[in-house]
Amino acid sequence: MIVVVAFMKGFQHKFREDIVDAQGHARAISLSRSTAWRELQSELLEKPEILAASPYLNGPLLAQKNDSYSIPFAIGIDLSSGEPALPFDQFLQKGQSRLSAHEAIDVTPSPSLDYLDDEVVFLSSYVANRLGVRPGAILYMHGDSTMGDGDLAVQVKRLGPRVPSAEWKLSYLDQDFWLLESQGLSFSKKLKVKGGLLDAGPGTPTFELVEEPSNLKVGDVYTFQSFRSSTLEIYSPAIVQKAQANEMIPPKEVRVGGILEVPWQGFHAEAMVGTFRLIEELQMGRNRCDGMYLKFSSEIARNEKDLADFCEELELPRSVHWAFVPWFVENAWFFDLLKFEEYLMILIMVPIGLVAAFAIAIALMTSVLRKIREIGLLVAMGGVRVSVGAIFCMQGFFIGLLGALLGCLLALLFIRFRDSIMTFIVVRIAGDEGRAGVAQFYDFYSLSVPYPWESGESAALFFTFGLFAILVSTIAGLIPAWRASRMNTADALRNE
Amino acid sequence: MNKKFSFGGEILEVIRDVSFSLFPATSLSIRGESGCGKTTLLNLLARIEEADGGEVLWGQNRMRCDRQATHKEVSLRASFLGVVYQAYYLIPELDVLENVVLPARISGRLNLAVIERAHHLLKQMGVAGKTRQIPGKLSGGERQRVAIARALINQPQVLLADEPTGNLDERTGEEVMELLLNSSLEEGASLVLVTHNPSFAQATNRQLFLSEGRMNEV
Repeated sequence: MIVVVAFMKGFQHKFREDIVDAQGHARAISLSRSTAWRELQSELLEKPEILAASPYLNGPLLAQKNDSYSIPFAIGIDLSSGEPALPFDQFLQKGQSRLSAHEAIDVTPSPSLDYLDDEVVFLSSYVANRLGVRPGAILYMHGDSTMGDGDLAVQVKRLGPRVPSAEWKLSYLDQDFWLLESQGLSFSKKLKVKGGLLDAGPGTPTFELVEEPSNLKVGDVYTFQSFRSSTLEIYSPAIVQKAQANEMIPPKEVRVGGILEVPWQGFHAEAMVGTFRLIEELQMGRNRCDGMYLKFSSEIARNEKDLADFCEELELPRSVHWAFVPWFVENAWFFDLLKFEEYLMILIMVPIGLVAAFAIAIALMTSVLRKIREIGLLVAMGGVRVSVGAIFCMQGFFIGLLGALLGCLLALLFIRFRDSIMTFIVVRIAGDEGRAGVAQFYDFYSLSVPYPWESGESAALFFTFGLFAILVSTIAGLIPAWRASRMNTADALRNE
Repeated sequence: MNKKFSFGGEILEVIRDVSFSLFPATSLSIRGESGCGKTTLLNLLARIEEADGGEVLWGQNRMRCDRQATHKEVSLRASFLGVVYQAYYLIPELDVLENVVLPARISGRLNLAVIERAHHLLKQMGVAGKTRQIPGKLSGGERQRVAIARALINQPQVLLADEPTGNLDERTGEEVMELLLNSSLEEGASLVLVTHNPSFAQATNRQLFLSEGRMNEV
């Protein structure tokens, strides 16, 4: 029971984190297409409880690459007011895939939100695969198959979406200077080391020195091959409308800055993230906003009631134009489902627990009934009936205590070695494919199941079920002991 | 004392106006046919079974026998009486020494002196080397010796022995009986011995015979 409930709580915790990452702690949803959203954003950011408010525009767009089409749900994020409410850098890092090549290592750095501008978009992997596009990549050409990217003296720090496809040679000149050349681009520039970085400006990769200069020698050359990011064309419903009116507006051409992998499945699988201005331009609707992703301080966010109250407080004076919806209200269906699953598991486990408790009770009763003659003997020797009954009650108590301790220990071991245990079971039942499925849908490998000393909730869970085990055993011992101690002593002694 | 049992509507009067006295440091035997009520009589004397009427005196303590023993009587029983049963009734989970000191433990008198006395009694019974053994490892004779030591541990004034040799062979039975008579004498305890064996009965100071609920002097 402890393991089942702890794991269900672990799932809830994980999904909660994933949803908050994908949608923020709450969304301010525009009800009237208000144009005064910048004022609202400023008002919100003045509140100490609100850490971030990222306005967005959204709606479907048509993306085309050659003969491939996709209609992703486009989200335009306003990045002009500090940190975004959603951890896009994390999504980009998760979405990055590596190229494999002969005698080369993919050393492409993880894209980041600063790649985003009005001509760059991030795509979900579904859209990127459908269109056959990918972000820029860079390989280190070494000719030594045993070499790993950890062996490099220089690493690629940044590969902007506009870096062209080219071969780059980076040569060590002295402690302060390196030479970056590209024959194909007829590019050659002597670079001075600044803060451990080698930056030749826009359109070139930025390198970072990771090796001490004393370990380098003049003439050391590092060769890289960059691949430019793909482009795609975007049509908006507004462009289509113009085309119907015989006004020809060319589609917007954008580059792929990175691939997004959002952990929450409720996030649009076909998504495209661009700047607020880009989506605004494509939709040809000026100065409006569909909503804002909000991120709150932990004091508000950690308690669902506080969060709901705070959202209500925000909404009250603005209820004509804005609705403030906490993450758990927006995803209530999912959490209801998860709760239902938890209750179902408990519903299955409770009869099992009761049967186990009944079996323990019967075993204890039998052991007490077998001791009736001894009980009679103890009373005959001058034992007080209550004390004699208490002995057998204590027996039940200690059996329960031992069982509870053993059960808690087993639960702790299961939680500690959950990955190995699940892998062992799943691989034997469903093979490696099953293992992949379990990892995908029930990610035990990243599931947070707290130990009792790490969380009050977990401690309460262990305590409750431990107490249940002790109570069942004690009561199971108490009833027959009480009956036996009330028996006629002579009859008890005659008992065979 | 009187005691009747009812079996399916039929009333069986097993003790009818039985009355006898037992003087300090003397022994008394009760014989009778199987099922005549000898064990019931011992239970009535020990106040672990209720009579239909009558009284019992433990020294100066007069008690009505037609009601359950009170707390006071139960604690008095622990110090006044020692009982030896035919089937020994040792606690199988406890070792020999623990079994012997059990009555002292129950009456809250367990201390070093009691443990010393337990060792002394076990030595007297000839089982000194078995103190840490569990009853299951002992022979029938050894178990009964341990049971006698247990009955004597609280220095009782009266020892009730219910066919103590009933489960033993003749030779062992004789040895145990000799030990029982000698040790009760040494301890200054009066002995009430229920037995089928006339020779064991003759070894006591007074012999009684229970028949059809009535007690007769032999």
